[in-house]
This record gives sequence, C-alpha cells and structure tokens, in this order.
Amino acid sequence: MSKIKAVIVSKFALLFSLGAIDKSKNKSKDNFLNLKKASAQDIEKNRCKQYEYVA
Amino acid sequence: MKKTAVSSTSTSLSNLNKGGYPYSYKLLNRNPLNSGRKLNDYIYTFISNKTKYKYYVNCIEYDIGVFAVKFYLKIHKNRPDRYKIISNKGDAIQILKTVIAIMLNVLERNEFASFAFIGMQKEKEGKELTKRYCVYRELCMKYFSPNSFDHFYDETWSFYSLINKKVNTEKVSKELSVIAKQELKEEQQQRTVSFTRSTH
Repeated sequence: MSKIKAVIVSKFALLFSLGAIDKSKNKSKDNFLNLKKASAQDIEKNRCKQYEYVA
Repeated sequence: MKKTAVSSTSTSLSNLNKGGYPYSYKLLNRNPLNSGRKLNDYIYTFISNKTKYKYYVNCIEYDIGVFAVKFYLKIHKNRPDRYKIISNKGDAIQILKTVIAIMLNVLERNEFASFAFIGMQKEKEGKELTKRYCVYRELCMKYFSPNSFDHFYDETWSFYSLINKKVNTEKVSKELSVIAKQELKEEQQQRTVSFTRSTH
C-alpha cells in the first residue's frame, strides 16, 4: 500500500514540476528580450589570458 | 563618399594579430537611412586572402549611438537568409578578426560608439544560445575590456551588446532593449507573412 502511495506521490510531483517548467517557458516568451549585464569578474574568468584587450 | 583603403597596421590592432592577421578592409559607403531609429548604414568590404571571396559588413547606426554589426558573403547578397548561411571556407577566425578590426575603425571615428549583434541560428538550430552567439560572446570577452565596455546579453535571443562606458550604459541598454524588441517583433511578423504567402 505504501509503495502505491509513493508511486502516486512521485507521479504528482512529476506533473507539478512539468507544469512549473511549462509556466517558466511561457514567462520567458513574455519577457521578450531581457538584457542582463555580464560582471567584470565573469568576463575576466571566461577570457583566455594570453590575449590582450583591443579596446 | 570616397572609398578609403584601411590596412590593419594601427597600434590598437596589434593585439588582434596573434593567431592570424585580420584582412585589409575598406569603407565602401555610408548610406543615410530614414527608417525609424536608424541613422546610417556604414558598408565595409574585404576580401579573404585565403579563399578570394568578398565579404560585406554592415554597421547600422542607431540614434542611441549603437552600431548593429552584420556580415555576409557578397555571393549571398540577394538572399534573405544571407546572415544565416555558413560559408565553411575555413578562415572563420580571420573573418571574425576583420569584423573586430572594422568595429575598432568605427570606434576611431566615433569614440562613443557601442555595438550590438545577434548570433543568427544555422539550419536546424533554435534561436536560443546559438553556436554563432557563443563564438561572438567569447571574442567579445577576449578582446573588449570591461573597463571600456559594459557587456549586456540575452541568451534566449542570442543577443550580445557592448555598451561604451563613455555613455550612460544603463540608459543605453534599456533603449537598445526597446529597439531590439521592436525589430525582432517586426522580423517575426515579416517571417509569418512570408510563410503565409508561401503556403498559399
């Protein structure tokens, strides 16, 4: 019985999570171009140090 | 406008020369645009030393001081999908370095210039986080200092911009966002219209 309960609970959890993903997809469609700023640390971290900046 | 030959000998370009020199380019023309917030279209051209193919680079100036940079092969000039086509000629790095050299030329002419571009999707690729976008982003981070430019991006649209720190970057990025939204919406509508036409 407890196994059946666990299966039902996990199915519901999956359905809820899928719903949340779908909602977030719709939300990103509403946010038509949302610019984020890259931090200087991110830029420094991601760049190859052997190259020097040109500007 | 007189054609101006420009060689990549400027001292600011010396850092670009590691791992392959950019090609020599020239400013072909400046077309005034009377279309919404677009002011001018600066058309540059260069020829690949390796393949002898000719390329066009459009730097479209907006009223907020941002230049949208686009490039394509001359042989694809009349194709509506010219920005999406992958040429696969084997000299991508040198072509991209030449485009960066052209951006530096724009910057020499206008010290307040900012830049924006979209990494167009290839066939069978979504518009989100495209391969082109990843390459352009890497080059921007490699060559454009965060001390001179604020880097703004939206991976959902594969959109990247370098906003000059000599201007109010927050204000310009907001304005740019409005312009880009408008243009992307118009492009989508055009695509829908052409799709509807083609299905009839």
